[in-house]
Amino acid sequence: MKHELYREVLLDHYRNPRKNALLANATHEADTANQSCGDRARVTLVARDGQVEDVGIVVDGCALAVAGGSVLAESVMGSSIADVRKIDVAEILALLGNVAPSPTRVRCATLALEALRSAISEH
Amino acid sequence: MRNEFPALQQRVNDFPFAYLDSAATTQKPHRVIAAMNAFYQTSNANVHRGIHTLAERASGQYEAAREAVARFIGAPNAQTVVWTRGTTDAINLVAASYLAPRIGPGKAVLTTLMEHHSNFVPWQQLCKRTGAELRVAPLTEDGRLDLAKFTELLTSDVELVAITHVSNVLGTINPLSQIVQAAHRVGARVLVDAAQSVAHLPINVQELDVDFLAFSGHKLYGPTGIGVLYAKPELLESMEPVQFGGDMVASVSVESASWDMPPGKFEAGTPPIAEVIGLGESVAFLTAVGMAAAEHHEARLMDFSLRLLQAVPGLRILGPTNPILRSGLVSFSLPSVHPHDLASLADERGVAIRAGFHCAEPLHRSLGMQGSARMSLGVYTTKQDIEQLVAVLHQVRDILNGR
Repeated sequence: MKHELYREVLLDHYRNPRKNALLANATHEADTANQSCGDRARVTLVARDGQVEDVGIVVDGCALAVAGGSVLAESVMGSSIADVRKIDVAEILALLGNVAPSPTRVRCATLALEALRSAISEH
Repeated sequence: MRNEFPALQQRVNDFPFAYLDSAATTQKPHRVIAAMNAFYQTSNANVHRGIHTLAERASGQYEAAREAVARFIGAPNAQTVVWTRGTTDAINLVAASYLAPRIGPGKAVLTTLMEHHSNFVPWQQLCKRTGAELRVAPLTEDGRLDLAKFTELLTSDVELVAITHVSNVLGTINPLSQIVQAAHRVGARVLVDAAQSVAHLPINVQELDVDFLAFSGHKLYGPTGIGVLYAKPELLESMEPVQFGGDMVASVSVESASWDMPPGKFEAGTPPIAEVIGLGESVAFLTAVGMAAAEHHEARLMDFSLRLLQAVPGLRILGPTNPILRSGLVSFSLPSVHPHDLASLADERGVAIRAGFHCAEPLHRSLGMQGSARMSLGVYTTKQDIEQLVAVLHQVRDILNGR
């Protein structure tokens, strides 16, 4: 059976989330929870001179939230902070295999993005 | 039975629609939808004040619905039935009108850990505001009310016991008669949240001797936006209105106003007339089905569901596993499967279930759980609906985690 939401790319990121360890030497970090379900995304980032040198994203949550954190981690590696700021919801959904979750569940996919935004908002 | 519900006649995501979310809201039978349509098409007028044919017809249907609801719950008369927006609104009315003037430091409200937020937060906030104490009775390991602890907490300073009839997460049926008797012995009043029971178990407010009972129309095969507060006549007499305006007054001068008799004094403004008529029709529908028959149908399905669910490897069922102790719903979790993923995968196969905290966050936290998935039953539920869900449960771990 074919899954509209749970496509191979999403499941792959869920089963093997990339950069899935928090960094001890983070220059930026944030811990964001989705109050409606208790899911939690923790983001750590090492950035120097406006460039991301390393990232670690750990999401406790559903497949969509975990995979959303994983594709985000991949896409920010080696980017400039200015480019990271441009990552939007549509891009995360595209990276997950062009999924179109219901509005309630879009928030799952972008929980890590929310955390990342708050991590870099202070600077 | 299923044929009487238009919304169940569709396919969802190319599967037969297995609606297992009746605890959130029930589907509506054709006759309820038709009654509301007919009202707008033939009888639409405001109630109580008009002196013309349609106004009198509308008022007649509106008050007939009140009588139907009173009969349905075994109330002594229609004047003990107050229309509200729903269960939450009914409970807030009791908090503001009945309890607020009677409570303060040295007094307590006793509730339980299995309450829906609607029967928890109003008391929590009222206690916070007035300096009264909120006592929360714990549960046993298998998700029943801990009656010994409950009785210890039930002392003469308790002004009100607020308790659900059936837990919307655990499915547990609380022993209301026993609780009401114990409460009355110490002089406490009892409010029962019947949102999860009124469409599933026969209820007689006089036999139970409850002081207040609240429920919502939409969980009873009726419309949203309408609910009921039943209260003993002397309590309604003693309560002051909390909303003021048209239709709730006896007379008004520039300086003052006097109130209509109950239930009118609690029903300010033009009510949701079509919804009241829809609720009257849904009560007629359930009466025709027969509450004993509805209870029996769901008890059989509960047996069937528990048996199938227990055969799913690793599945954890919340609440008592003895079907006699529960009604209407089963919440569960699967190790390493998030409830949201479960609900989404079920939806891809035409199965509607609920996932999350089910508006009972304190309970889930006490169970150490990040939410759960919940299937719930109605008069239209079939064994096939449940089989369709259980098939998903058997596949879901393979789908998510790979073989």
